[in-house]
Amino acid sequence: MDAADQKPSVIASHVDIVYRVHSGARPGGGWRSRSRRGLRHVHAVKDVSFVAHHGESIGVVGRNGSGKSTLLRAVAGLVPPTRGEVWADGTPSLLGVNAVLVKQVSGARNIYIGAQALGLTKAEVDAIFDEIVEFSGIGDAIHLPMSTYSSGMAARLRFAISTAVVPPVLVIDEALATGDAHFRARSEQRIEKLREQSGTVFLVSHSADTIRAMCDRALWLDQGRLVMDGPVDEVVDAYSAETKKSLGTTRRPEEPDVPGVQRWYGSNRYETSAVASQSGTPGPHDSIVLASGLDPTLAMSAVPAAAVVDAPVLLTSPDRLLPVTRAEMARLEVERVVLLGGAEIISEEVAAELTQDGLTVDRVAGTSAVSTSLALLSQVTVEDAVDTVFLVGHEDTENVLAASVTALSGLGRVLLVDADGITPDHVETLARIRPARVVVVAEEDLISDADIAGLGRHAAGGAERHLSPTPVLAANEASRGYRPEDVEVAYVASAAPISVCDVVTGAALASLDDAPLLLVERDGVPAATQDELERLAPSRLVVIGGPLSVSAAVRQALGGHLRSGTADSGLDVDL
Amino acid sequence: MNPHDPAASALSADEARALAQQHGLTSLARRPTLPTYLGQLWSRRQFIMTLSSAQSAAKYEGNRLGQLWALLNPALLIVSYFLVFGVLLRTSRGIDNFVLFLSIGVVLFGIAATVITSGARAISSNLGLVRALRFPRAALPISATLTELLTSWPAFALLLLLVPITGEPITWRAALFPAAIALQMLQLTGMALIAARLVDVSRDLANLIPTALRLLRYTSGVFFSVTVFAAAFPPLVHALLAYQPFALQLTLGRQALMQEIPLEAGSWVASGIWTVVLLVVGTVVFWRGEGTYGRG
Repeated sequence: MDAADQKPSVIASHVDIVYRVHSGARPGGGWRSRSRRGLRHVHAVKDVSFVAHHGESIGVVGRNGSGKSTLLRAVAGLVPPTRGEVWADGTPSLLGVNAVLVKQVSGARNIYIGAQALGLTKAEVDAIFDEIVEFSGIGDAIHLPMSTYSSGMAARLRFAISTAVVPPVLVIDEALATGDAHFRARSEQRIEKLREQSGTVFLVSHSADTIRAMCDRALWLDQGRLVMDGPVDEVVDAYSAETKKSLGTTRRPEEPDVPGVQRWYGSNRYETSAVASQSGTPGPHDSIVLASGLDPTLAMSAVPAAAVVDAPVLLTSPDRLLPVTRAEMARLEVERVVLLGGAEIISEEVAAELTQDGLTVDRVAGTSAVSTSLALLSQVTVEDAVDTVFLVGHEDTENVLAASVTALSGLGRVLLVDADGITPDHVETLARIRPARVVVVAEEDLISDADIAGLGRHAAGGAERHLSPTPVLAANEASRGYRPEDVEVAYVASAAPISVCDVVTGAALASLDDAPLLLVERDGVPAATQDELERLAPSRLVVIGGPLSVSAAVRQALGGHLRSGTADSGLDVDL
Repeated sequence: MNPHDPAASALSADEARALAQQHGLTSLARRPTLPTYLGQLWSRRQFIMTLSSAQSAAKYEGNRLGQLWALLNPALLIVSYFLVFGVLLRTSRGIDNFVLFLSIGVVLFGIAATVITSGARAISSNLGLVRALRFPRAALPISATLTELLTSWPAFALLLLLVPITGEPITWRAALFPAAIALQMLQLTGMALIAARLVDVSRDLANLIPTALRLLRYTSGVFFSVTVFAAAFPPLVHALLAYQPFALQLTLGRQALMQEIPLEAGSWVASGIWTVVLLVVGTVVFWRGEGTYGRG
């Protein structure tokens, strides 16, 4: 087919996108760090031009932070280019995993809100309502508030809404990563149908296989620049080759080296997890915990449990096992893999791949994060003498992080609840393991005072609500249990919501290493963390995550807190 | 040379524009003209309605007493204000039916305060929608007003109920009450549009809103009569206090429901002028920022 003969659907001409970020304004940093906040400019997309045609399906590949999502937002008309221009045929529609519609209201109302925002009339929505519900596979839950949906359900509903109207240009940002194999197959069919109706589909995905299966053309972005544009196989092959080359050599583009402050990261959360484990976990370990990187709060809540049995925690894509993960398991001489969650959370494909590698697979089976969390805790017996069980909302990332780092510093465990709050299963599990204490890290609307009173009967030390400080402060608090003379190395990760997976990786590594984990902001070291670093004065620091999680400037600043004498001694070999 | 090298095959800006024009593609970044924008907004009216009723329904969803709070909240507020201002501070001088006077003030100003607060956050609290779907963003501040209107009917019912309870005769003037509400809502829409743009330009401004609202609450005659209290001031200050839109909103509601407040055409004309001015300014101010909302 000759692209020149076809009608173009999107023309991007010399698009530059620079956006402002308010740095240091996050509430996680304590009020003192606010004085340092300022506006920063991020040049996310640099001089990108391409012409897309009707009937084309275009994959976009590139590392984290290469500008993929920003470019696609511009294609969808949601972010205006700073320079250059984007033209499109009709109104493009963007479908992203992070797109929450109106959480507090039912899925049914959200169908009306979403479809009418796309320009349908009420009568038109009436006509396709049943089809949307049917396609999403949500069933009667459509009448429940969206806040009660699992992330998979919400993603399926958004997909169904966004594709109910045939948009001339559909932009999909990682949406297919969620959902089971059955739903993925159906959405692939639907995308195929859209293309036949001469629409154009843009797809961003971490999975090269998804891109290969669904696209005929690919764009490769690196640091905001379009590096390659061509047939999907050529581009993805070249991209994969480049990724492999840079992996393991820990290439740090445009970042000055800071002696004594290492940085362990890969091009995505799964690679970061594997690379960090490779650098920081001396083998062998016969058992490991494998958690889905798409549900970082569930993974985080399991870290205290893994720490008790000294098991490393690796993150995997729920759909397949990455070669780096596989290689790391081989290096650790793993024999048994504990999969965190049922097939809804980590697919059967992953389990099958593990079995093929000759590994024993044990699932902590649960259909949701909460039931998995319950299943994990119910493996505990009274003899284990669990100290404190922290109850925390699955969706509440900050509290999950804070509770988990606190639990790690004692013999604590974390138990998740969802919007249903305390269920009979929670009560029954706690009644059986009889923890010393129950601490509820959730607001009144999730777990009521009456519930807490009821839980108190099952713990010798009673139950209380303790709204924990920010993750940053919780990590500092936990770190104070270490005497400076015992600390050789400390781990550092960003407390920003996008870096939760790095905190999971860091927390798991730190607990295996019996070292403190400290949290920072992407663009600053909170005052409280600085104080703790001063006290510990470690001779070595390890930053988990790339420069987009923890900036080069922060890494530089961390270098100033090392125990003097060792940092400059040259004994410290940077990996 | 790599045949797929994107830099080599890129069209120049002029070629790209020509190709776009040839195939009838539209530029995504360009702000639509004001008439087009209003047209787009009008065609999304059902969306605005759906969003508003959904948000109104969600407001008290988690509470056991549900929508009853839409009645209980203003009622409790009226009682507490009555205790403070009617009984303790006695700001009631010059007003016979102070209960109704205060109730109208509390309910109508409460609506204004809620709309301005939620209007200012219209973009930031709906980032999910803004980042996922393309629609005229003015729908969000407009929906903030509409949401409050839909949520407030129990409070309006409370006011109408208080008319006979406080011994006020029901006359033809009560028919003006919906008109007073309509004017207030249109003015608030304009203010919500302005507030949404300002806060989007500079988040820091959101911190000033509570203070500004508190100042307005104490100067707009919620619990005292502006005419009585400002009588001692120079005429210009008096006019400023009496003819600012918030004071007028309360005055209009009181003129409609209270016999002791004389009906004055001047108030209605002034309110009408404010309505037009605020709507026009709000629409233009907000429209000029279209395409920049939700950039973070």
